Amino acid sequence: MDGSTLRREFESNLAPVAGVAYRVAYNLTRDREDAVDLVQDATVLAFRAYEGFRRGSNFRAWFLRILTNRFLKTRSRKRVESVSLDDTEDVYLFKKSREAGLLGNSEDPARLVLDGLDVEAVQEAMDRLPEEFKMAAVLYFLNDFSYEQIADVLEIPVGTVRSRLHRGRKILQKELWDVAEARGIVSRGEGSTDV
Amino acid sequence: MSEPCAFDCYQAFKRLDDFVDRELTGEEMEQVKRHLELCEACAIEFQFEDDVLKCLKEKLQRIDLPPDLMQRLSSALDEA
Repeated sequence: MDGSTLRREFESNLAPVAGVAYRVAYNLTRDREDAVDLVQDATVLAFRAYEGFRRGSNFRAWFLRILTNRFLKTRSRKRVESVSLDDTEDVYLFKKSREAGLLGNSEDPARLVLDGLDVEAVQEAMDRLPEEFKMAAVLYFLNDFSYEQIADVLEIPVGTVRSRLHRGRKILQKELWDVAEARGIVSRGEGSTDV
Repeated sequence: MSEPCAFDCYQAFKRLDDFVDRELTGEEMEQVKRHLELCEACAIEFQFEDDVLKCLKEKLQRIDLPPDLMQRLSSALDEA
């Protein structure tokens, strides 16, 4: 295949993936220009490796693997301190919503809490996840990937993906409730489990 | 073939995350579904968790894209 045909084929595969790649990159870097730089770097690296890409396999997963590896190589070590992994209850938002009496007030109580939170607030909560949990969560929320596909992108076992997603979800729910409280979407102290 | 038995609350709850992510085997999915048909309390809880995940997915997928993204990626390839 000549260079220009290869380039055209690569770009036709890239076009439907570029948007999700940018959103993944933005969630990881949390900066719009850094996100574009990351996707650009991944694009160049992917094109250089494209002759080795197995036609018919999942281009999106392959491209995101290159992008996440690039992120891990180049990221700044400066991070928001992540939360402790211990002591977070299961179904935290549900329990808090029930204790706050929100469950009977709406057809969709989850939205009652979450609709008041903008994308930035959700991302702030995501930022509190330990990095390896956040990477799995970002791939989960932005793609319709199975655990196996996320494992393929991150090159880790499926069981590790399951564990990171399940534990990350608990932490995220607690963080979301805290943000909702801080923003007055739910009253401070509503749903308190203190006895 | 007989229908699979329903799980009890504990067995169903242990599978909540895998259920909402559709990561259970077909038989386990059916057993959880049968439990949810019989147990309103668990059904409300499972629905809540499913709604939370859907809502978060919707929000995060709404991040605006740079209008010239593909152009910038093409330029990066030109310069490489």
